[in-house]
Amino acid sequence: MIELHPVMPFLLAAALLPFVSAPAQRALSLLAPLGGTILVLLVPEGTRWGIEVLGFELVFLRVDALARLFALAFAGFACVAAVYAWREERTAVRAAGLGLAGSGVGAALAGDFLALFLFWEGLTLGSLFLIWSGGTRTALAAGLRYLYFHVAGAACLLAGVLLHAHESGSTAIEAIGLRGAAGWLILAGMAVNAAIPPLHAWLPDAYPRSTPAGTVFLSAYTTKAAVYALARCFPGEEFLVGAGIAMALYGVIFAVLENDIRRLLGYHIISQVGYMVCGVGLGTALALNGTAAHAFSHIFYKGLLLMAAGAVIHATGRAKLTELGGLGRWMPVTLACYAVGAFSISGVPLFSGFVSKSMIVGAAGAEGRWTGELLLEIASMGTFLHTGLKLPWFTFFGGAPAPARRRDAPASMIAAMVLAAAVCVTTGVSPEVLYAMLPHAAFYEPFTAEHIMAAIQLLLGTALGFWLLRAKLGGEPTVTRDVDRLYRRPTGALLEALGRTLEAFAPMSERSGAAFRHGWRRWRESEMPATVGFQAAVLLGAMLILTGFVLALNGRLG
Amino acid sequence: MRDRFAWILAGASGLAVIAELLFVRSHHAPSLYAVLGFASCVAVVLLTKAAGRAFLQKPEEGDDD
Repeated sequence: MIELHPVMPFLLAAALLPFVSAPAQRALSLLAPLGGTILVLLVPEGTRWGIEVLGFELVFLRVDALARLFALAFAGFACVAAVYAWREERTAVRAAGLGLAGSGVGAALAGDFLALFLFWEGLTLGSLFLIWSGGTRTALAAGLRYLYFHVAGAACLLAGVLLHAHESGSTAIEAIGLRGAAGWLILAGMAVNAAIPPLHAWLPDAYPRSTPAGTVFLSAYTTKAAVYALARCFPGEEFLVGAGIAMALYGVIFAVLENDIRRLLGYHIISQVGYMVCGVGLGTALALNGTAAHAFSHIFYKGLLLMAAGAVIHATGRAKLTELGGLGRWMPVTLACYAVGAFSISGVPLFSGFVSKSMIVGAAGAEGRWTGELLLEIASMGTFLHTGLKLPWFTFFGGAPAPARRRDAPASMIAAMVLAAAVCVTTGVSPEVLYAMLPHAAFYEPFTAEHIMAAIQLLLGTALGFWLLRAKLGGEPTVTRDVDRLYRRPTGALLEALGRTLEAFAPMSERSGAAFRHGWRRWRESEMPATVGFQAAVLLGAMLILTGFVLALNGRLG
Repeated sequence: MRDRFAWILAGASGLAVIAELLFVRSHHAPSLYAVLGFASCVAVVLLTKAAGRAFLQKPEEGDDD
C-alpha cells in the first residue's frame, strides 16, 4: 500500500527550496526526483486514489502500465536533469524544474480530467518560470507568448472537459474520440501542448530562451505529457495520423534553415513528437506501444542533445552555428555524449531510437499505409541530416575560432550527459527491459537483418547527400519566419501599450509612500509581475467566457 | 579530400546494397533506403533553401520581439 503519492517529493522539495541553504538545495533537488522515481516503481498496478471536491471526485493516482511508463520516464529524467543543474545558483530555476517534473508525473498518474487539468496548469507555470529564468527581455517576451498559447489551450481543454462531463456524466480519462464539440475542444487543448502545427510556434520560440539547465527540463515534459493524454483519449483517430506525419516533416524542414542550435533541436522535438502523435492515430497495439516506447527514448536522448548544446553555450557563450566550430578538440566528452544522443534520435542500430521509432514506422507499414511509412522514413533522414550531421559538423568540427574556455563542460554537466547517454545505449542494446513495461501485448523484434540494413542504407545515403551539400547547410545569420510572425507584432504592440499606460501612473506612484515606490521601481525594472497579473486576469476571463459560450452553444444553460 | 570522402560514402552505400541483395530477404525494392536517404536529403535541402531565400528567412538585424 502506497503511503506517499509520487508527486509529493517534487512538490514538497520545490516548496522547501527557498528556505534552505545552497548545499541543501542541491541535495533536495536530486533527492526529490530520486524519491519520486522509487515511489513510481513501488506503487502497485491498479492503485487508485482520489478525493472528493465540490461533488467531483478528483482521482490523483491511477496506475496502469502506460501511466507508470510515462511517470517513470518523467521522474527518472528529473534525476538526470537535477545532476545537470547541480551548479545552478538560482532557487527559482531549481523550484520551477522540480515543479515542472512533478506536474509531469502528476499528469501521467492522474485518473480524471480535473486532476489532469491541475497538473496541466502546473506544467504551464513551471515552464513559464523556466523560460523567464533566461533573464533577458527576449525571454520575458517569449514567456508571455508561451503564456498566451497555453492559457488558450487550457481554456479549450477545460471547456471540452466540462462539456464532456455534462454529456457523459464522467470526468474519467478514457478514449473519448472526436465525435462532438467536447472531443474537438479537448483535442485542441492537447494539440497546443503537443505542438501540433500550426499551434507549435511557442516551442522553438520559448525553449531556447531559458538557461541551459532550464531548456533541458523544458524539453522533457509538456509535449510528452500531451502525447500521453492523446494516447489515453484519442487512440485510432485518423486525424492524428496526418497531423503526426505533418509534424515529423515540418520540424525537419524548418531545421534546415535554423542557425540557433537550441532552436534547431526544438524543431526536432516537434518532428519526433510527430512520430508519437502518428502512432496514437494509428491506434494499433504495436503503434501505441511504439508511441510509449518512443516517448521514453525521446525524453532521454533529446535531453542529452540539449545538455550537450547547453554545455557548448556554457563554454562559449554562443548558440549560433555561424559563431561556432572546432569545439570537438576542446570538448571531447561533450562531443561523444552528443554523438550518442544524435545516433539515438537518428535510429542508428544499438541506440534507443532504433528500437522505438521503428515500432511506429513498422506499425504504419503493417497497416498498409505505405505513403505514411515512406514520409516517416524521409523525416528520419532529416533527423539524421540535422542532429547527426549538420549540428555536430558545424559545432564540433570546422575552422571557427577556439572558445575562450579551452576545456570541457563542468563535471556535473558531464556526469548528467554520461547518465543520459547510458540510458540511450542500454535501451538500444537491451530493449527487452523497455518492451516489458509497454502497455499492450504486441510482439516486436527490432534486430532483423532487413531493418538493420534499411537503417544503414538510409544513414549512408543521407551522409552522402550531406557531404555533397554541406556548403549549403551551414548556418546563416537569418531568422526563420514561422507562424509566430503572425502574432508577434500584435502581442508586442499590446506590451508597448500596457507599458505606456502604466508609465502614465508613475507620478502618482511616486507620491505614495516609500513601500509603494519601491514596489513600483521593482516592477518597472522587471515589467513582469504587473504585466503577468493583467494578462492572467484577461486570459482567465477569456477562459471562463469561452467555457460559458460553449455550454450555451450546446443548449445546456438556462 | 572532399571527393575522396564522397566516394567512400558512395562505396559504403553500394556495399550495403550488395549485402542486402546477397543476404537479406527484403520486402521492398533493393537499395530503396539508400536511394531514399540520398534523394530525399538532396530534395529537402535544395527545396527548403529555395523556400528560405524566397520567403521563409529574413536577416537577423531588427528581429526579436
